[in-house]
Amino acid sequence: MSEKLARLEAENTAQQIVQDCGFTALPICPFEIARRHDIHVEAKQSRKPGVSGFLMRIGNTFGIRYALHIQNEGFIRFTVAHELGHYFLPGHPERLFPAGDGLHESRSGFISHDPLERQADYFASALLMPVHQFREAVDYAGNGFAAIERLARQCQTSITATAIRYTTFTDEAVAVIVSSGRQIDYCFMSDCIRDLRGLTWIKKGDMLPDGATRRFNHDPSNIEQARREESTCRLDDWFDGAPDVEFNEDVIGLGSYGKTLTVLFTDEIIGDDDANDDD
Amino acid sequence: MAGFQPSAISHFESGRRSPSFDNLKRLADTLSVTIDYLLGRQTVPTTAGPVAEKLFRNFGQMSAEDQDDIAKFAAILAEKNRRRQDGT
Repeated sequence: MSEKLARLEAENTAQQIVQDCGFTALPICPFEIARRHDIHVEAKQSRKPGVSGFLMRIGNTFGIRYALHIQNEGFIRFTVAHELGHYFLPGHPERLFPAGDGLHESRSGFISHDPLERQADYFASALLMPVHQFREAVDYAGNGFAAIERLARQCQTSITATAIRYTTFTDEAVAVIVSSGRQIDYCFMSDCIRDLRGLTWIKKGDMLPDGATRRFNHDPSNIEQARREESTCRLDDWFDGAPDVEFNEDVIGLGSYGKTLTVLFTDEIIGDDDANDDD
Repeated sequence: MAGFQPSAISHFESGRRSPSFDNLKRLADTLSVTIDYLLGRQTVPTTAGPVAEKLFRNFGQMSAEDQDDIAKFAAILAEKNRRRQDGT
């Protein structure tokens, strides 16, 4: 199955569950969904790093165990929603447990190489931030990092997961970049930036440009203590071939996750009429 | 049956559509059989699930703490499964 189809399947499955459970407003509670489906959910007893969560089946009985080593309510809810993805998504039983094993474990991190894990991540995001409710919330959220924070509070999701989902639904020019040290881990862009002609997309492993994020990462305590900084940059500092437009560069340390989140956004209209004509 | 259209069950049987765990659980509960029976991993419809030594994928690569935690959680679920089977 292509990545696009897998995402569509995850989105549709999550939307159906939200609807079946009668949720009409944010936040969506994954614990309540599990309870309604008779899935036993418990926290791991140890707070040491390790498996972030797992789905277990014994006979016809299912359970989800989640870790507490990352002290973040949004992370915990995402972990439970991710394991619910393995439970609700078609085709996961035979691909996760081909030999009849009864346990599937997941490790934390936002980008997995395993297509099933990526689909479960996408499901979790779509479940906690469902299309209709989230789109409406985005319309009233404003822009930049303040909008992402407001949405994260509404959805009770982590800043990172919310920021990634936000780029899918906003009409504004927004890019979300996660970095560690001097390197970029990944980047998500709103359609408004993706559609810019001649722009070179950022790749994993690319070096951070000179600027606020790079200076911020130079001091590890900024990340540990979840400090934040507001600055400005030019879009072409980050993306080769991009128009020379001033962007806001909001930077925040992600605490025990050990990474930095950067949100680039602008109030200016960017792009050109020719690009729009292509639509 | 179990909230499925007959065509959906036919698609599961023919392999044209893959079920989710939720689909399997609803079918198994409706038919009073085990999920393993539906998956063709058991020939007797009502015996218990997979035996302990087959349970844990990648078990050996986990930390001792995670192994211990998983064993405890398996015991909780096994007890819950037993009660479900007994109807208690």
